[in-house]
Amino acid sequence: MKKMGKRWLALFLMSVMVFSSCGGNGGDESKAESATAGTGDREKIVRITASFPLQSDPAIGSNSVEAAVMFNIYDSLVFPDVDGTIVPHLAEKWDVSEDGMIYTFQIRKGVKFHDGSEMTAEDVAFSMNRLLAIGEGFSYLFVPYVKEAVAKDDTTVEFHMKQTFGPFVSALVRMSVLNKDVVMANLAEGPYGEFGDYGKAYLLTADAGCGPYRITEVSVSEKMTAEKFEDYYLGWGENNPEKIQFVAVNDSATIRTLMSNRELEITDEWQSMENLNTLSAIDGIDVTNMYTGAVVNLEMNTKIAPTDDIHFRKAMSYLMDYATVTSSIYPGAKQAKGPVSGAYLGRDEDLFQYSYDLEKAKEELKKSPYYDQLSNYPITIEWSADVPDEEKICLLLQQACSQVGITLNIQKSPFATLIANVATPETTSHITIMYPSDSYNEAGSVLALRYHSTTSGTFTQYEWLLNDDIDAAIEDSLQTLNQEERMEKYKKIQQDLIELCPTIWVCEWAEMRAYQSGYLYWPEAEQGKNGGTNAPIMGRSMYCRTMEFRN
Amino acid sequence: MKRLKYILHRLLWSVFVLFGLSILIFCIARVIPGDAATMALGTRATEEAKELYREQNHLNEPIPVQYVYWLKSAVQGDFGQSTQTRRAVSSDVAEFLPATLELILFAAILEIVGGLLLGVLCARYAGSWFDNLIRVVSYVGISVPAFVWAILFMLTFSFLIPILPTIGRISAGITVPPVTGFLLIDSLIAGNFQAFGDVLKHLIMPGTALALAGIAQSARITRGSMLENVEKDYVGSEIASGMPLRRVYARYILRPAASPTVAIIALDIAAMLGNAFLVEVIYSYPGISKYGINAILNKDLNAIVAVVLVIGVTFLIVNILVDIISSVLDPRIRA
Repeated sequence: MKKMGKRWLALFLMSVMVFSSCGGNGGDESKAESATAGTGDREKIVRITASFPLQSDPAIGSNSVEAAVMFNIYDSLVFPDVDGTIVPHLAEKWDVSEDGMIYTFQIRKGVKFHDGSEMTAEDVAFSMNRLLAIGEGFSYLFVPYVKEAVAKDDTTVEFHMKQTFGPFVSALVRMSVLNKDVVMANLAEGPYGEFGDYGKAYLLTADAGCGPYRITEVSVSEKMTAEKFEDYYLGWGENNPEKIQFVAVNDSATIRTLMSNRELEITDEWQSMENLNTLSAIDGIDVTNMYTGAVVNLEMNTKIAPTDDIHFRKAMSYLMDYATVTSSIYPGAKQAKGPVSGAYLGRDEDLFQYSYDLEKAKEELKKSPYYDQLSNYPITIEWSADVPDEEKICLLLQQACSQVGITLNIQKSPFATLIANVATPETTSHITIMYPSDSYNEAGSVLALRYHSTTSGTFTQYEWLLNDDIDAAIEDSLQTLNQEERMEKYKKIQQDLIELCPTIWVCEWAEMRAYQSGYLYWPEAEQGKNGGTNAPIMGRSMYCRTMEFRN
Repeated sequence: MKRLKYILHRLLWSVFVLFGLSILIFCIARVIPGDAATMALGTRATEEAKELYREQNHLNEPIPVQYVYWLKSAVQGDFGQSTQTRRAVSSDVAEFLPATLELILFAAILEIVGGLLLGVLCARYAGSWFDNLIRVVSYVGISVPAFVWAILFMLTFSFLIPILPTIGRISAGITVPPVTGFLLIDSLIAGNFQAFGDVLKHLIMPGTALALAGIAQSARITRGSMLENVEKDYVGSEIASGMPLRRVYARYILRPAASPTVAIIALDIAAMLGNAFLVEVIYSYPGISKYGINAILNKDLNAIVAVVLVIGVTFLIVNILVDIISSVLDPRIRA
């Protein structure tokens, strides 16, 4: 055994030597950075965790990460301010014809694309026509209304409409402008005639934008890195981020390690409350509380028994313990007032709000045809496996249901399964928890996305409302050009929805992300911290150009 | 000659197995619930865009016709487009497979060296404190899943004693010109030793986490098999004839005892292709396991079929190699 001990010692020493010879730790730079946090020597990079793969092509991407990437890489004619106010951006001004069928935009001069060429009206028209032709991403906002875009000269572009669209200018935050020459120079074979693949293959790993950052590296499953575009037309401050990086990390232990080591600046918004609490206990890390428009919805399938009955649905709304959700599950969240968050223009502030009330729930149940046979109708609530806090809501509701004789089964599903399940009313659960984000800052955006029949069977509507009156009212409101009139119509729809009660509107969901407040100033987070309204536009909170590294 | 015939026979059967596997997985992938066009383009894509997608991918055809289209392209190396990454599945596999193979090979080396070494030492010093310690520790190694080791290693060596990188395959700012896709080899080809060291350090935690259960398992099997052989009469007579003990152990005890260990290690290595998923997620390691699971979750039909075939081919190759190695180690198998 002595001999063996010597061999072990030799083996150990050899291992130490081999390991030492491997050189410095790959993370040395980061460690050095963290050691100098706040001294001004830190590399000015903002790293954000995100779901991958992400599509940075403005005609393809449409989830919150992709929207965030577009805000940073591309620019649009108008832009949402920190509180959601729409301000001119690439457009200097615009006019609309009296009948609302032609919008004419004057484009800003001197804006450069990342290749150094100047942006013109031709690029704007090309970008809209490309979006319409591809029919993916945010095209759903424009396809029903916009016929085509035409460049009249270098600085004038016209949008010809199929029908009037009141919030058209607000919706233009979702039309990113591409460099036509770059796209056309990189066409591959594809189904779009002379436009080949419309540059889709090229834009998987490159950009053709004029936004504040330009893509330097895309690894489809790992990360996307962009560096600041020095010639950006709005210029730069001394402490704005030099680089941004979206990284595919979603394991909570990994995120905690990276945040502790200052190798990550901002987490995604799907971290559990436990993880956020742990992170916020670390020096220099804060958690945001940004109300960006999403509402935690318990969407009730109105086409299967017993949730097809309005009184049953109202009973369910009375069984939700809103106070516990807003105090314990999402601390600080506000109880929702109907389907539209307070961040949107056109929300009805006088709407009726349900409250937890067992007696009223029983009263409503008595009016339901299923009252005498509740044991024959167990119901299922389905929640996304990616969002652990949703299970707590399910358990809360399950406990309340048991007090009135309703059997509520809880089912955890991967997000992709939730999307697959909504294919037909029969495959959709009685209740599904979902809180989709929206595209522009008006209530009409939420109402069309959530309750118009065209979105039934998609992950934005598990209710299968299919109500002709609601459809007509939504269409009418969106076509109304007069803003005041439009807002009134939005309010009327919200009142009708309260009556139909297809959803348990639980609370306004705060976008909670842990971030390195010790060395990073983030205007959107500050806005939320001070109780202000954030832009209710998906992805806008991740706009990095206005962030600053603290000295 | 006999061995060559045996290998050819196995290869021929492998072709049939692969063909059957491709039909099976192709059909299973097509019956997963959900509309493939919607999953690919998003729920809000226009109906025209979805229809165009279905036409381009022959999704409106019956499944047997779809399979024929797929097979025609597959034999030319074209497995279609991934709906998640929006590029050719073959490009994805070419990128992600070497990453996972590199990780698995690293883990395999640890498993073979560590497992055999510990097994031999335990058998040689059976009943000693060292043997008892390793046997107890082996239980922990076998019973604790790889992802738990992965988290423990990360907390220890990235957070408490920050000597190893937390995520990825190579540090930012270090690049290696791609040749084989195996970064260790590519960095050596480029003569970039800094990159080699960096890649190696990125492999240490995930590789060890993956290998630990295998090391423990193979150590126990090696020890058990060797102790069985120690009892054999011919071993006693070799020792009595004065043959050096080291030679007896190497030639008459370890060699026949290695056969079951080799089989277990080989299958374990092949299984790592699928099992590496959680480790790849924790270390944000861009490998084929993570890609495959995401493909299943997102109904990425072409990617699912390609990944399962890759795993199938790996199992077949490993099985053939095991048979060959076993036949070398134990001539009775050839008979």
